[in-house]
Amino acid sequence: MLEEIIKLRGVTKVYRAGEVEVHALRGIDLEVRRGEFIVVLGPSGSGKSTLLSIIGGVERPTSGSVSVNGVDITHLSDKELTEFRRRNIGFVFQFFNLIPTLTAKENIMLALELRGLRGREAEGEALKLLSEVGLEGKADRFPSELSGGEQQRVAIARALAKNPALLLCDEPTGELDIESGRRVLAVIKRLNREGRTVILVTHNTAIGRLATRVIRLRDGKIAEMWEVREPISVEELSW
Amino acid sequence: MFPRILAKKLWRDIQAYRAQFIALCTIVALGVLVYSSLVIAMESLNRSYSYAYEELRFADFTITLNPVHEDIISQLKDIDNVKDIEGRLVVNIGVYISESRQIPGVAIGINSSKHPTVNDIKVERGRYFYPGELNTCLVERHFASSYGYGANRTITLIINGVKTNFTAVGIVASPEYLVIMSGPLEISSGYTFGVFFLPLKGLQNILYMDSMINEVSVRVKNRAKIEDTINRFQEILRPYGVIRIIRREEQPSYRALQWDLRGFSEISRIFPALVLAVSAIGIHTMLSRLIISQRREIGILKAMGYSKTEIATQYLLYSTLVGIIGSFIGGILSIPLSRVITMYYTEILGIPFRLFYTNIYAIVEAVLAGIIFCIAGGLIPCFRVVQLSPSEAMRPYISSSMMKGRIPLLEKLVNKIYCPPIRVRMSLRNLFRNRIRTFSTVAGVSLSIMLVLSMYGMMDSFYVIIGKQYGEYERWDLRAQFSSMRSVEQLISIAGWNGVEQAEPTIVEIVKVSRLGKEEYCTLFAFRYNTTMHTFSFSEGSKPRRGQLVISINLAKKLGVSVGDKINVSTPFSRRTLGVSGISDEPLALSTCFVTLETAQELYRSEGKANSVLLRVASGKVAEVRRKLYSLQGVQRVDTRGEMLAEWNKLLDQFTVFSYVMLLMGLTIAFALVFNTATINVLERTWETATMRIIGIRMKTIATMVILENLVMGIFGIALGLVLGYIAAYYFIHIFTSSMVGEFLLLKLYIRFSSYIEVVAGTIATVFLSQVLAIRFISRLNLAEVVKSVP
Repeated sequence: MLEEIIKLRGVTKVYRAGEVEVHALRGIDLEVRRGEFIVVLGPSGSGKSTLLSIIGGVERPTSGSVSVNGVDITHLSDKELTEFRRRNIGFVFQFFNLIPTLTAKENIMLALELRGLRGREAEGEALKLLSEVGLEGKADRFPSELSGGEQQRVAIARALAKNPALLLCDEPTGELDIESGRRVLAVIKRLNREGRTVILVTHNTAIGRLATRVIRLRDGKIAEMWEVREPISVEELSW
Repeated sequence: MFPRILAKKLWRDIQAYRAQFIALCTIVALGVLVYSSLVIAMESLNRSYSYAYEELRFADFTITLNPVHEDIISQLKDIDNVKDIEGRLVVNIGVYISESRQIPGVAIGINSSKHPTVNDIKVERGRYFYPGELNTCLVERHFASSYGYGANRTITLIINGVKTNFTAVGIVASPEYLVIMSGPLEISSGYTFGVFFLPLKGLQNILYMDSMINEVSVRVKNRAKIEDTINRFQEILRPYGVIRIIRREEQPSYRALQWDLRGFSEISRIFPALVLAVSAIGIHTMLSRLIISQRREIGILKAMGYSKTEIATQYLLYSTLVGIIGSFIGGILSIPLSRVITMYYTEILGIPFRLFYTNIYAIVEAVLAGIIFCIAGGLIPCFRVVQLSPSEAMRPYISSSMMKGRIPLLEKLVNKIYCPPIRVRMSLRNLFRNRIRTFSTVAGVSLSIMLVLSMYGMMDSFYVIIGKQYGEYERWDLRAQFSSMRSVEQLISIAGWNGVEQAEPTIVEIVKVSRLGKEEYCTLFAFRYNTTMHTFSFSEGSKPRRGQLVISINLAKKLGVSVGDKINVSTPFSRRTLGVSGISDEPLALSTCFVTLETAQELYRSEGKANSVLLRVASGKVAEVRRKLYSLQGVQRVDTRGEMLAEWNKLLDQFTVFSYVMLLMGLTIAFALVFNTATINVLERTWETATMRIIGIRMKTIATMVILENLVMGIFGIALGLVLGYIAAYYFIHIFTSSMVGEFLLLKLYIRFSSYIEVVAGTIATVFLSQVLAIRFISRLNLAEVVKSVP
């Protein structure tokens, strides 16, 4: 039996906008084992991104408890949450969220410096990570000079720079064409094969076939959850 | 017709950035407020002064002469163009304050049966003389308020060395003493100099000068013919010994009053223009930021079919609204503020009449200027909106330099020497990311510094030159002036007194200098050649030897002389031609000439004599020596250097109130502007900062990056601002020296090191402070929401 890396118990999240309360998550119980590739599906407003934010320590649950990589993050302070994210989580966002004034290499070095790497050492590591995502020749390009798929792969490399235990991807292919999306997913899949735990949120049902487990959310609850007995390869994927 | 929905959008934009909107309106309001309130106050003050001079029938010219029988007045009255004429007896006196304190003063004998027809006085408390009264007096208001004197109090005056008691029957204001000038270089608040009006007959009796007068004050019918009238007076009075003729413009109090007014009225027009220029930059920054943040919306509106004009109008309306709201607030507030300034000034100067004049044109002018400056500030950003194509607008905004994949040259150079951490590189690169923003931030900071430093420069210059005069040039501790010449030996013997370290006799008198038909009256100071009591400062030349003189720079200009030229010096006793050995640039020594003691003795035919003594006294002994000096026969006044410096500083504190008003406004504007630009710089990148926080960069690190970036811009702004501030201060000083102040003080620009430090530290503090809110905003960001949003 693989070790549990995430444990959610009775997690709820309520947003208040004036008089109105929006229940984004309603009593989520979930365990994730190390090395799993989980795809979270669901329509807009089902609570997918909120779930990811809570697991990543970006938001706190209204009630319930969250434990990630052996740390109960439910009641951590902002400062402690920042430290937690720094050590444990790699994020990949829908809009890539690269810093426009930094080159591809420098965007990665920004994260590497969080690990204490500096100068030439950080540069060497950044180039290695870029080559891992197939962007060897584009290290000195600014984000505006890269395609969407390339930007997303830089974002993945940046997420990996911290060597996180958990990779959280929020609609990583949402802004990409099929071919670019496939390349990004190939990188993510490979990272999972190498032992990294991945949670990927998407609207795209087809992507669920890559995962080891699929969770479908509806109205803030887990409506369905199933193990994928034989995940397909990225090459087999189409949408 | 402007679409209502866009108007609604504009309103919501204003609400979303209300702090910035309020800050911009504040800047504009202050600009308009400074302009209109100062212009209105100046006008009200001018009217108050003019009214006072007119109502109290201020003399067009005054002639000081050797005592002459008062019957001469009936002869002078018939001179063509004479409107009113008044004969008076004016003598220097001592005022007994206490056992240990006497101050100099002047007693003016006037007709007791009716108010003077020239140089009238306004009785503010008490009453005028009753006909035939002899031992009563009227006390000038500056002295009265300095010592808390009221009517019906006994005052002891020392006239001709004799203490005489008078009953003060009234407190009065005089057009001759709206500003108290106690001597050629000494301005007074009333604490160190007293003016008293006595019944003419009473004063004549005390002085044993029955029916004699020594001063004639005249008002003319036609000022254009004044020189002819003066010439006629001179012809008639020459046999009696004319000592000095003072025209209205040369009258010390009148001249001193212009000091404040002329210079400041110029500056009150220039300074607000700078403020409004700063506002325009603030609006430009704010609108540029708004447009960048709304590029996508602009693209959508264009794609939907809204015209360029409709979209641009929306943003132009923003700047116009700032202009209208700010200008109207400033314009309305300027009315009460101008009243406060007028009241303050008329009160501290003791102007007996106060007229308020609300110059609507000045307000309208300022309001219009405010609106125009704001519209101008919004034009460039609006032009940019017009230029944007829908597709371009909907792409995220990246600076052109980054689009081309260029790393700034400066960074490349830095990288060759030292490879800074990415966070530092990022902060520095952000400077080049949006050059317009960087430029406007630097410009905003530098203009703010310019506003503040120029005012600091103005005030410092006044205080520094006074400090220089009494700290560097005047080296004595006590100065005693006698009513007549006495032997040098007697004066030197004072050095033997307990506590007196050194005594040096000098001569101080009024002389006439002339060259090639031009003539001027000036104060003559005579020192020993090797004096240690006075340090000379020359713009050219050197100390005078026997038969030579040094003249002040303004006199040199008036007479058109330079070193080596010869000029004539006339006293009531002789006329001599002296060679100019130097031109003095001492700040307070204007309309002054310096000669050696021997030369002065020759001019006054007083060999071995002097009428003043300068003393250097052991510390702690000044009061004691001063007390002893008062006991000497014929001592007219005893001044201490420290008291004179303090008196000047006290007066400067009052006179520089306009500078303080402008400084305060400059500081407020600087804060509002730096706050705006610094917060905008942070708010513009909430998306980036949220991303950095999510990937685990600590809040402290992000705050440091933000501060570093704004600080670098701040430093550039400070450097540029210091240069601009210096230039502006130099220009303001130039305005002062070109005005009447140049006749009164030789102003040079001095900015104290502490002022630079205060301005720089204040700006850095403002930059920091203005980022506190922005950083708090970052720390409270809803990270999940921001990173999910479209960049």
